Amino acid sequence: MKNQMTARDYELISAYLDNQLGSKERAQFEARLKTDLMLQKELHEIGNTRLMVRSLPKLRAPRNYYITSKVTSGARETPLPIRRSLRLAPTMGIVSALATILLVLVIFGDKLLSTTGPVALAPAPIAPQETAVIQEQAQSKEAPSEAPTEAAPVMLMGAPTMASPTPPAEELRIGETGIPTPTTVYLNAFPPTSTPEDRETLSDRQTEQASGCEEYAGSGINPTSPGLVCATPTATSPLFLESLLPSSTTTPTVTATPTATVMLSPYLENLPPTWTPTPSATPTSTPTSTATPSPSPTPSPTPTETPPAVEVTQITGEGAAAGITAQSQDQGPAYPAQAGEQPTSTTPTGPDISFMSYVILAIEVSLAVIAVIAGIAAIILRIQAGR
Amino acid sequence: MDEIALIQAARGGDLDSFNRLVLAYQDMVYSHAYRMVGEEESADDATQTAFISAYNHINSFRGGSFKAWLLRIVTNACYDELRRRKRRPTVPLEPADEAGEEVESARWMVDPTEQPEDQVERQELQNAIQHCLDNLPEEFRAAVVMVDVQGLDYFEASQASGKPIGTIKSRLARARLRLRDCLNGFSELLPSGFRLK
Repeated sequence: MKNQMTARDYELISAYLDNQLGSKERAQFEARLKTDLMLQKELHEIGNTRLMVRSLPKLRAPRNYYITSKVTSGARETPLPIRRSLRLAPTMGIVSALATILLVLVIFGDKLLSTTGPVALAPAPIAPQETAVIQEQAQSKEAPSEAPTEAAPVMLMGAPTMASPTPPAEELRIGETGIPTPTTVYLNAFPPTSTPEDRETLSDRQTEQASGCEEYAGSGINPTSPGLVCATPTATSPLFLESLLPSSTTTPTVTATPTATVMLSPYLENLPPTWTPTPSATPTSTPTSTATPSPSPTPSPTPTETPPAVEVTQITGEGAAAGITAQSQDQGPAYPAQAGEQPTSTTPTGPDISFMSYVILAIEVSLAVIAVIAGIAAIILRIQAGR
Repeated sequence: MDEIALIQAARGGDLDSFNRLVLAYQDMVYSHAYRMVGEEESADDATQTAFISAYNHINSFRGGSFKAWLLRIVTNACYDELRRRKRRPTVPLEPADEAGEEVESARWMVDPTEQPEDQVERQELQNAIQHCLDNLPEEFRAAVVMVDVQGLDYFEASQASGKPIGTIKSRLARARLRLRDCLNGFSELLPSGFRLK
């Protein structure tokens, strides 16, 4: 016999009393009743309770609840909540739609402005070059401890050290017109103690450096010089910087020998002209391997002492990048200053940018909240009107 | 004029047609309200409110059982009255007889053909049952009043309460169980054949 009655049992009892069980359920319940005494007892008690409640008299209304015109005049006006719901529902829907459209426009406009913003915020083209200059100085200061990289001398990042002599500058004809773009800048360090013997191997080294430049550029040793491109111009006139050497001869030649020249990226095209070649500035010939000393015909600065810094000579055919100037030795302080130079920019300052972004974000959030709330209100009002 | 025609006329603004519906259903509505709130004044207010609301929302009736639709309106009005009473409890004034003395039940509820002793017993039993009904949760009370007092079937009770049939079954079963337990305390009032346990 089942002693525990469950809620399901009481539901069956109640439905059985109200004749709400299906035929199958009713048969199962009656079969169980025959054996379950507890179920019989509960069925009896619940049945009596149901009868007592049903025995309550149906009351009569103490009065008539007719609706009069007075009541209806007020009652008819009371559909105001319904009318108001019907009026407000489409209004809320329109508000929600407008807020959504405005939100989309604000987001789109913000994205559009953000994509055009970075252009104005682009760093100065001089940055890589300046970085190269700064790094060069650092390397030159650390010369004793650093081992120069192969083919470095002919590259911007070439940081010749005192320990290893580096080949002199490449040939570059100054004053020659028609030097094509991009501007070719040669950066060389001239060991003050370079000897003719060293210079003898210049041409050999130039060849080596031509290939070495490729390797150097691709080695990623100097990641701060992304604009470096090794090239072997054959038509461009080399600039002869032999005059910078303490003793060297120059032989005017057509540039037939492969020279490891470096053609910088277009960054340097924008460098302001800080030094322009003059016919008398430097000889226009390719340095040869001759060991015959020759007087320096140029008034160009000659390293007369041991400069740890690297001399930079800029030849510009047209336009010049800013920040690079002809440097004599030991102008270390100038480099950082130059490196520190920043081109004038019309970009807004940091605080203004963050303030505008906050304002735009606040507008977007507000529009989103309005759209959601108005949409929910429209739905609720329509449901109420429908009731 | 049948009920459907009266309803259609009332939807068109015919007040007389609606009052004819009021006349047909006011006893049922008042009885339901009384069993729900347990006192006459509150039942009277709930009944009047329910008919006014029914007239205002007659256009929302979309067919089916008009009785169930009315019971839903009056049940909601009773819920509102119960909540109002909880916020501001009142002591109802008992009606006075010709001698000016208060009577416990309204004169119109007294059956003049009944013996006094029987009337007293019956009245006490009804009071006990009403007391147990008042102790039920509102939703349980509505279910047992609709089915056992008003005689609705499960489907009509589901429409009147706006709840699924399964919910009505469950609430009705639990309400009857609680009533059984409550009435065990009034066993001396119960007829001998109805004495529980």
